[in-house]
Amino acid sequence: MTSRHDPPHQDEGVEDIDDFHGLAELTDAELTTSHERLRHVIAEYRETTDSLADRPTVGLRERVLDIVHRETAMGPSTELRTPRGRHFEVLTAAVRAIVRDVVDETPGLAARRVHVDAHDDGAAMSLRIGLSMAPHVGIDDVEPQLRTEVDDAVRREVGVSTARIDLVLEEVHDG
Amino acid sequence: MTSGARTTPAAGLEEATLVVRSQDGDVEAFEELLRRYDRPLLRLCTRMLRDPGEAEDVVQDTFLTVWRRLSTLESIDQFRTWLYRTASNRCLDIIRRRERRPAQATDPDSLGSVESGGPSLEDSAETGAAVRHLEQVLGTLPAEQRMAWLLHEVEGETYATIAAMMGTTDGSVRGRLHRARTAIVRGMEGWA
Repeated sequence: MTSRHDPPHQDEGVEDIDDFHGLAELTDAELTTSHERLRHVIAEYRETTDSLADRPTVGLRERVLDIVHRETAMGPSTELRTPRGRHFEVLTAAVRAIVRDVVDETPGLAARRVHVDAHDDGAAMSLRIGLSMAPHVGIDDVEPQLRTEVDDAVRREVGVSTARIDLVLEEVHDG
Repeated sequence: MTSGARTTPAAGLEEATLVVRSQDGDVEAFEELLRRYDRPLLRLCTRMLRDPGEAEDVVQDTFLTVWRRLSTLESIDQFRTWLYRTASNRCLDIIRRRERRPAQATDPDSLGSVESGGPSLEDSAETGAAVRHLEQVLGTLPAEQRMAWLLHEVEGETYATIAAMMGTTDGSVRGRLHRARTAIVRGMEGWA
């Protein structure tokens, strides 16, 4: 494969060009021509080395994700309290995941960053939800239901209500 | 746990959204980034290190480093470049460490061979003699030249992207490529 954007090598801008230890007698044109003659060898090299590295990466992914999950479980938490005043903590990453799931279920919307804050001494939650939206979606059409569904999910899964939900359109995506 | 065929709910999301969500601690988004880039990175590192086991370690370390430092990535559209730069730096560090071990660095029999952990070019019966010879010539190149050459000639990256991935200038990339091509043309005389 050759670069899709760069022209063949040109001398301008080359640094340390005098460091060739006797190889510099090739002109630039000769070098380009000679290197081009090796295209089929380079293509074969690419195919051969592709196949050598073309092995299952499932084990690699599992090792990485095991560590990532463990580190996430030790991540920051948000302090809340039940209606009866009992204090408890919930992993902030878990709240974010609940909110993201609701947003992602809405056609044409995808969640981006979710900021979580305790509100009213932990009796409720404030959320700031970044959104990526498809161009055909009207935010006014989906906003009321989205707020309701996010609040329902947070009440159901965490046990507190939302005092405030800020929806922030951060990006418009294709499709 | 993951399997080879499973797709994540994040599979349909654009890369920028995946990166932002990963910065926010979304493991599924990060898993999708891992799924998109683990194989290309593994290929590059295997070519660079000529040791599939060591290449896999580099890719694993790269993704963990990137996960832990994601919050420091200010420009999310630079994610791919940053990922490759992290892997590239690790490969270059390993090669420099190898070169400080004289017995391995000067052993001509080690050129073109994989040191451990998987199949090598020389093990492969189908590998043409010219390819094996090219691999030997590549093995004689300084690590930075080899990386620049692989990124340009094999991965198809532009000079500017390679410069960003290697943390250097376009001019330095051009110089490295010129020197690499010169050495390869010299080393491959009679094989074209």
